[in-house]
Amino acid sequence: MGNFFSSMFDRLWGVNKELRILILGLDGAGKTTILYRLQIGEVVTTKPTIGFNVETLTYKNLKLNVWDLGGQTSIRPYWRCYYADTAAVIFVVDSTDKDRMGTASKELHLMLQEEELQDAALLVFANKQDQPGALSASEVSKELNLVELKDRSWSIVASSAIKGEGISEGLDWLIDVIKDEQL
Amino acid sequence: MSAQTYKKKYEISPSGDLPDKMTIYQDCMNTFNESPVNAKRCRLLISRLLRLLANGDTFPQNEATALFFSISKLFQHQSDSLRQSVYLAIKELSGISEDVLMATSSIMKDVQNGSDLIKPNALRSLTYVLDESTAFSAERLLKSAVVSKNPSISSAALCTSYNLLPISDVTIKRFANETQEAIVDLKQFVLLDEASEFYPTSTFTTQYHALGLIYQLKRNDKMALLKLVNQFSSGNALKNQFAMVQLVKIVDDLIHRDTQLISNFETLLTSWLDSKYESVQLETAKLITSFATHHSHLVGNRLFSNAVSTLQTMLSTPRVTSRFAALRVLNRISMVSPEKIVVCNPELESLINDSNRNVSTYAITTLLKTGTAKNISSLISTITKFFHEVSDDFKIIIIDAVRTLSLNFPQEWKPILDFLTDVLKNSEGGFNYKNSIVEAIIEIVSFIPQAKELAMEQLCDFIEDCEFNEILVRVLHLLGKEGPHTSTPSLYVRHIYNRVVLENSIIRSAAVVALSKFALIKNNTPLAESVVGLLKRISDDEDDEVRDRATISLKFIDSAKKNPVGEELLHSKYTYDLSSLEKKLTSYMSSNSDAFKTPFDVTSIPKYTEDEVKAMELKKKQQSFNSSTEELGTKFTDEAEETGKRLDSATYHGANLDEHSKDLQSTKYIDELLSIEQFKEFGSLINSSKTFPLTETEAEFVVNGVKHLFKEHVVLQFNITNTLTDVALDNVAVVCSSEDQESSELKELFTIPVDRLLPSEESACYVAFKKPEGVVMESFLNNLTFTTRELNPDTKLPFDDDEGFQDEYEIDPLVLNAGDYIKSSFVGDFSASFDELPNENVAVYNVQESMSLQEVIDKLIVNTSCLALENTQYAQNETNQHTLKLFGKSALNGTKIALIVKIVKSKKGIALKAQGRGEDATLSSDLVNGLM
Amino acid sequence: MNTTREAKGIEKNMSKATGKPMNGSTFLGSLYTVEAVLILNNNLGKASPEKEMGTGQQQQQQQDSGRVYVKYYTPPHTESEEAFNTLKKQIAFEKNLMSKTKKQDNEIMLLDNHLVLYKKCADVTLFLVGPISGNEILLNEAFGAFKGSLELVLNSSGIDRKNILEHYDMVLLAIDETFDNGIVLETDAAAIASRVSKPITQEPVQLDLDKGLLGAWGFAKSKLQELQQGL
Repeated sequence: MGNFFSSMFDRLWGVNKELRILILGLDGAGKTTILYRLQIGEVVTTKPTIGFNVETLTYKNLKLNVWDLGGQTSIRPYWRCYYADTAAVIFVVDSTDKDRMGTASKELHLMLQEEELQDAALLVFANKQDQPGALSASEVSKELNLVELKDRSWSIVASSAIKGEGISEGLDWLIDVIKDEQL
Repeated sequence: MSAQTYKKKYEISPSGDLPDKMTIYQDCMNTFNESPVNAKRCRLLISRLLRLLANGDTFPQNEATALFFSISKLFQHQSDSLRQSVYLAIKELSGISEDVLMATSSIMKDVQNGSDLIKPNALRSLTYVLDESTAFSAERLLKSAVVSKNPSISSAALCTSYNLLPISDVTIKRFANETQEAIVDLKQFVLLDEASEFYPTSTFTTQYHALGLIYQLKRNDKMALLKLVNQFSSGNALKNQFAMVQLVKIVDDLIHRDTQLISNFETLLTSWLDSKYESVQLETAKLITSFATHHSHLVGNRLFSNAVSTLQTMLSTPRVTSRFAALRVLNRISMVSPEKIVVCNPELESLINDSNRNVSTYAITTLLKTGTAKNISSLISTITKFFHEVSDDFKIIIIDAVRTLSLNFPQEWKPILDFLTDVLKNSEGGFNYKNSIVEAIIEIVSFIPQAKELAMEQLCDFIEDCEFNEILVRVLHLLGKEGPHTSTPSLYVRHIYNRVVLENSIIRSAAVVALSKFALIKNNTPLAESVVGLLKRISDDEDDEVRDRATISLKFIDSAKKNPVGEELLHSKYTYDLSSLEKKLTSYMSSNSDAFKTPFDVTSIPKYTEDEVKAMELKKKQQSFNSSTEELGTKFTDEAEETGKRLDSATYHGANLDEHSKDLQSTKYIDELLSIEQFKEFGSLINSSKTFPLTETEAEFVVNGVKHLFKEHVVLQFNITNTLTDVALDNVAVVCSSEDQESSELKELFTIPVDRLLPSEESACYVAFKKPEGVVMESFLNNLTFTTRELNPDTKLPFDDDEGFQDEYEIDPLVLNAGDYIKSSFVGDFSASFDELPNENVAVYNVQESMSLQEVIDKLIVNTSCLALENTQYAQNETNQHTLKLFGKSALNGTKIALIVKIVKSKKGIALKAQGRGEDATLSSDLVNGLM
Repeated sequence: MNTTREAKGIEKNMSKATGKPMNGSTFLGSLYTVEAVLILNNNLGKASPEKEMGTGQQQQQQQDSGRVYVKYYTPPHTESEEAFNTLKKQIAFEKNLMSKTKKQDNEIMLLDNHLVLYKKCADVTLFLVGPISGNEILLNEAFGAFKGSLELVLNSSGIDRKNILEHYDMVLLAIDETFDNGIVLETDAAAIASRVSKPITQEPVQLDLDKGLLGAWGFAKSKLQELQQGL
């Protein structure tokens, strides 16, 4: 009952709501770089994230609460603690790391099976396009078996966080999808 | 629900009732996971949660972890106000949660980019979130925070580094230089909010944290510490008093490592005694006076008296804490060298009436220790004036202090006894109180012969009107013990008999026993007969126990006339060694090998005569007087209501746990010795020495020795501990060679080696000699011989085929001297006893080593095994001479022996003149001529 | 003959191999000079007179242990001090503290091998506990900071149980800014108080006047949301 009311109100007056977005991916994929790229528009030097980084930013009149969770193997089990109330997941992949594509794919699909993420939209960044030997977005898409995803809006965008390419395109798409489906 | 009820639910109810744990948990989980975050409510909830935890409640790990995670999500909210609460919660929960490392990134981010308000909180929370594997990652952050100009940030980093030392000292050492800079740098406090209503002052506490950290980092480097002291002791380098006190402690550490350094620091210490900070003065005075307790010859008189006068001035400050602190130090000094603080007596006397009870108690007990023969009477009269206004606890403490006074100044017994009698008669009080007074009087009876009769009279008066059975029984027992030897035994008989007539059955039974002792007084048949008559009357008493005792006593008295055994039963001259008795009884009761058909064998338990017992008691009292440095602190906590404590703990001066275990240990050695077949034919044991070390305590083989004397044999016992971890020792024995093989009177009979000694094991080996009867002295050089066998690391046993190799290890020599044949003995009037003894011998010695007077005295006491009397076991600090009075008796034949040793210390060394007399001529001569 | 515990203690506690500090606060020159901070009710062990209306079970759970705030400090990453390492020992110690200070206000005392500084304030007593070998005057400075900062943070209301509980978050922060794991962090009460953030007075309600009615509706909407969550 309560949820019905709140979702009805949200549709009518979605102004004050904060959207919760998670940035996930294996360690070294570029998640933290993307987060701060979004927040301050610059490339910052990053250290491996032990835990998470959370920043609030406004994008296209929407308040986004973005959580960048550490990708090291020991930290991945904790991703689940942050799934609740998530509007969207941004999955970042190091396009040059061919050896770990399988691991990335596994983590992605495992995550998407969680009930709390049923309604979440998915944006995949095939990152580090500026590096030699980077797989293309479609190649990454194949590696990640994105085609298998059912009942979910998803998109994959080639990006280079360092160069600033593809980030806003990806996010634009994501926000539009969220607005369509959830607001 | 109305909005009002809803709001109230989240506030802490003013009535203070504790929130319910489950409710809090649910509320927390809901609220913290909400989006958007309601910061106000979150901070309130965190307070409620923390209140629950402060109350002692806790959460199981999974719930705590869930809480921790939920709270960590609050990092998304930018409010500093909420963030500070989040840090509090993280710190509290980290102990009971798992995986707290998840907060690491967020915390590090705050350390780098947070506001100046938040940075210190973030830094300090790192202590809880980092572990051995992640601590290194904080190095850069910590290092740059240490050099921050903001003292809160710098201190936070320093404290975190300090906290992390046990798990990552390598990392912390990397910014030792920056840490040292932080001592020098005077960081001004930064007021963060211009509109704040507070006016902070800079305290430069950061200097303290930095100095404390550097000290830890450089503890093993004596030179570095010396440099540190030099650098920061000059001028105004340190502005913070905590830091200055820290420097004093560093000096304390240094002088304990190298005692000679104290002279280098004399000027510095003197200047610190004049510091504008009382805390520094106090710490310095503490340093000087406690160092002087063990190294009095290294602390100059001027330095010491400077320290004392600093403390003296502190006695008059208006601040209670300072008075208290100064008093504590003075009290400690008073236990060892009371004459040094006599100068403080005027201040101490005025503190007796201090409004703070703890202060006044300390003042009195200190005063009582500084009492010299001259001022005891005036001290006692001062105390009498206010004694009646104070509480029982306090009274008992004073009584105790007065009691030790009486032991140390037996000549001044009169005012003391008068005081005790007065308070006994005229004040109201509970059992503990009355008991402590009676015990004090009993002590006077036992150890001060000139006071005996008067004291006993007072006790007789007291028992006419005493409501405590235990005390009555004790007094009656004493009267029975001492009464027969006085000049007016009939007086005591009368008092005792009155008790029989008037009191309850417990008292009557005790009285009967006491009474019966008067029946055997020689040369006083009328008295003996009247006692017997009284006993006959008592045999008709209505109580069983009373009748039985009367009847038995009559029988003993009767048989005593014909047979001395009866007398022995009534009037025993011996008591048993209680620890040995206890041990044998326990093992007898638990063994039950033949349903107790074999009776308990009491002959194997050592017995002591009364003067030996008194000697031991006196020694114990002397030592307890000097040993504990905080006995006053523990006395404050004595309450009769506390369970598990001795009812007479305020007055109990028997063996403490340490001494008891030493007693048990020597009993154990004796038992073991006597159970060995080969020694059984040596007959009964005459004397055993105390255990003494023959190696350093850190040696590979720790050896200590015990000397056992039989009538015609000597057995040397060596207790060997193998401290090595990877070898076993086989066939361990000690080869003793007399220094003078030619003229030795001892003939080695056999050795009982230890077959095998595994790592950390201790075992005893023995060497037995035949000796002629009487006193035989000898010096032995000793060599430990053994075969080392390497151990198989898997089985922890030696390899079977390995023969090992033989080795020797030299240990300290040992000496069998006259003192080994002597036991301590107590005598009330030393001079009279000394004069009566024949066979005087005189000898002179010169000691070249630089020993202190006290050390010489201690050595003499150990070498002679005698009892030091008239409080001569302590050297006075300011003098260079001392007279030691020793008394003992021969273990072979019980004859008395007394010794007066005059000691004079000068630049050339220490000269000793020993004058000894004894009933046994050989013993007396041997003792005097073999002193050092 | 005269070997005191002090000299022995120093030798025992010096690690020869590494510079690692030893366990506990008793070694010479340690910064861990505070063992515990306590605010206890003057009526120890009695249930609070005004009770909230709750179930009987709740009332039982709310039995007051006498603690308003209590913190025992252990140097981190070391073995905890034996004296206070179980709740039972702590409660026994607290009971002892209150019984010894019931009648007089002597400010400083020795108890069970600890130095205790204390002060009675209305219906609670403040305690600071340190090791028995500590410097009393320094501990007193720390106590002054503790009490002084509480006075400043509680404003003119003074130190009493009701005020402490009403401003519990600030009290916690003030104490946290005074001591860190038993290290004295700061001794100036004003400095400590200035670092204590005040609680948030009101959540910023996004009344966007440009939006006018929409804004007002937004306000109503968020209030309704709260209500729903309360259900």
